[in-house]
Amino acid sequence: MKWIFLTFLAVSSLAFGATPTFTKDVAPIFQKACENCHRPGSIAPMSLLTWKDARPWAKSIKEKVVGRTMPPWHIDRNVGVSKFKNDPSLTDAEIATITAWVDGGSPEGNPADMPPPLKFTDADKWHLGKPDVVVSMPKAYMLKARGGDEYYDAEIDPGFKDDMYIAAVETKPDQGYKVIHHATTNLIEDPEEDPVGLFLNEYAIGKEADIFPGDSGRLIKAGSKIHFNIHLHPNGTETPVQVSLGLKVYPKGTVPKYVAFTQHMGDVSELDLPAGQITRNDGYFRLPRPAVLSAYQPHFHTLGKAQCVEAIYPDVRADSARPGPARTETISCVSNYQFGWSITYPYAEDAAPLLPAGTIIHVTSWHDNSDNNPHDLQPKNWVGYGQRTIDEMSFAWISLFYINEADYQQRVAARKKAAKADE
Amino acid sequence: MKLIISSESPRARKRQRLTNSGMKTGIRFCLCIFFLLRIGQAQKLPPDYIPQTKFNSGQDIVPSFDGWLRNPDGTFTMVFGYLNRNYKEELALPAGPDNKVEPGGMVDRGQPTWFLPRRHAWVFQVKVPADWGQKELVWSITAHGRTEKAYATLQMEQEIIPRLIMSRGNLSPGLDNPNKPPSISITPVPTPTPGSPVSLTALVTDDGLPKPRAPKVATVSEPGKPLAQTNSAEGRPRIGLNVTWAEYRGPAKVIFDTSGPILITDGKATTIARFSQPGTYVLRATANDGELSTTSDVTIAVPAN
Repeated sequence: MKWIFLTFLAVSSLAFGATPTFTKDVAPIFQKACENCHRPGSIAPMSLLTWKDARPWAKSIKEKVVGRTMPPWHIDRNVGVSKFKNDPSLTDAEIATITAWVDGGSPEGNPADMPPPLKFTDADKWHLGKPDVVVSMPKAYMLKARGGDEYYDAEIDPGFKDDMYIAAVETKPDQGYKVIHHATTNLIEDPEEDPVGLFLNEYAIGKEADIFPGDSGRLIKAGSKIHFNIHLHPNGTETPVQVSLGLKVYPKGTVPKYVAFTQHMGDVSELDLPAGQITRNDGYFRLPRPAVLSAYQPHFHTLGKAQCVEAIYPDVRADSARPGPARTETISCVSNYQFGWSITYPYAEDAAPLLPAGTIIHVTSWHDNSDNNPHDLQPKNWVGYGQRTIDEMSFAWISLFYINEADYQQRVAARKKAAKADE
Repeated sequence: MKLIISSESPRARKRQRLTNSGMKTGIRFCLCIFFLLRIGQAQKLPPDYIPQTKFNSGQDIVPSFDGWLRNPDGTFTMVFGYLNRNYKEELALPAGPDNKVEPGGMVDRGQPTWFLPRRHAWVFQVKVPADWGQKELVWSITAHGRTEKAYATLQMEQEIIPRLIMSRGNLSPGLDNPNKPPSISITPVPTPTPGSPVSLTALVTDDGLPKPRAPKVATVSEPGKPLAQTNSAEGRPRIGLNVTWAEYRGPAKVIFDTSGPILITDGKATTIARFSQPGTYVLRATANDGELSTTSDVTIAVPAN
């Protein structure tokens, strides 16, 4: 009821002539949801720290928040799991407040009402908090102003002396975020045996840290090297590019119970995206063991339109004559995918999909290769699968960890108990 | 048993149901209006094309514009590929009304005339002059009664470099990697006759990079430690320097004893080809070191018996 009440308050205050002000009503919302990016030196194109900063953008702000393209959190709130960690999206009441402020002429209000400014430190660039370990490229790569996409590879030996388990990992650009399509980091344990290594983490604009759920982590063996692979897209200005990897490390001697990791699911590598059409593709991944999904991110290039992930459960009835799927359940949908925002949606721990062995993860993806898509550079042309920004991809990044059957049953029982207690 | 959302409050769901029921009448009314309004608009919506139904034959071919190269002399090179939507059917489409590059009318621009199943990127190049500007170069293919086109322009985002083609679109290894692409040449081919075998030999040299490697052995969990990490989709074994053969142009299917990959032995890879019909064929050999590849074409005229 809270949001209904707040919406009522916001709307009624407007009806009674009490236009919200920036200092009293809007600034607290911006501090909560916008300023981390909309401040000098961060990734957003304009600051929203002060009324003077925000006022010229008022109409645009209203349009973006009403359309829910800002703050960037494009998951469909009406289907599937709806509880997430670090959800920056605005409530309906907050949107109503901003709308009323804009419609009321965007007044500043009493400066005394302004909340104390947030303190941003260098550590704010890391969404995982202050990293215990930072691995950086030894020098910036200078990307040319014009031309096609480039990939830059750098392999770094951080000199890890001991095995360690990490609780969180984040890849972040120090310089050049505007030209970085994505930057992946891989763990190279043995360059001779496997020079590609294990996927560790990815940065793409809007993407935050992989913070593994409690008692889970990843092993980084002593002597491992870090490989940076950076996909660059020249934007007309010669740009230095520098990327770092941040790690939060478990205390020495601590061994987490579960191995957490992130992988593709539902890849479709034979994309056939005709000119002028919306196209649907389906991909699948079967979970070999019970699993907890901790985060989801759709991956497309410029033609991405929407993606849904559903669980196709195995038939576990004792009297079933077939091993096939019994029923399906939607996990998440991003119904209005925005190219340029590769957002990871981390599930709240008490809502993270808990799935039995044999569950098939079904990923449905839609691409829009028509001139209805403002990001489509060539709507007259067919587009297929490929690495370049102007090619396409179709898969879901899923963060997960596997659990054993007994653990799975315990977690199911605990969730049932919690649900019953809530009735 | 709702395992995914069981943690969400049943009360909240009940509230949602109540809200829903209260709104149903209004929603139905709105939907009626909505659908009435949409009757005139429905035809404007693009169809939801689902391409994953697999057909062995009967499907068309769509040409693709795969980018453009900047040449040292100021000219540009447009690069094309194609998707043959069939999984088995190979089609012969001679240069002409069903396989043409415009502007240029019916001039043969060296485009493929034999179309292998599925996707083939970076297969065909056309040089355009330095003053090409904003003009379009259009490759049209008509197969099974359907015409598809690729529109090539000098759009900034479409610029590519030769290493992109060599790495089959991966651009990995990056430009700073020491690996150089292999070089390849094809030894002269004796004039074949229809149906008789003819030997094809490709000579290949390479810098030895990257080093071949064996398939990765799964790591075993150590006591007291979590299960081994097995999340890498990469690290596939490399078989070493090799050559594959493919038909690029021709009036009929060429049968190879093996089209590859054929491992290089003593600097060469050999296979046997048979031509069922007379005509002029172009065969393409591709040398691949595991990361980068280079192609070489050979034209073979097969006279009538």
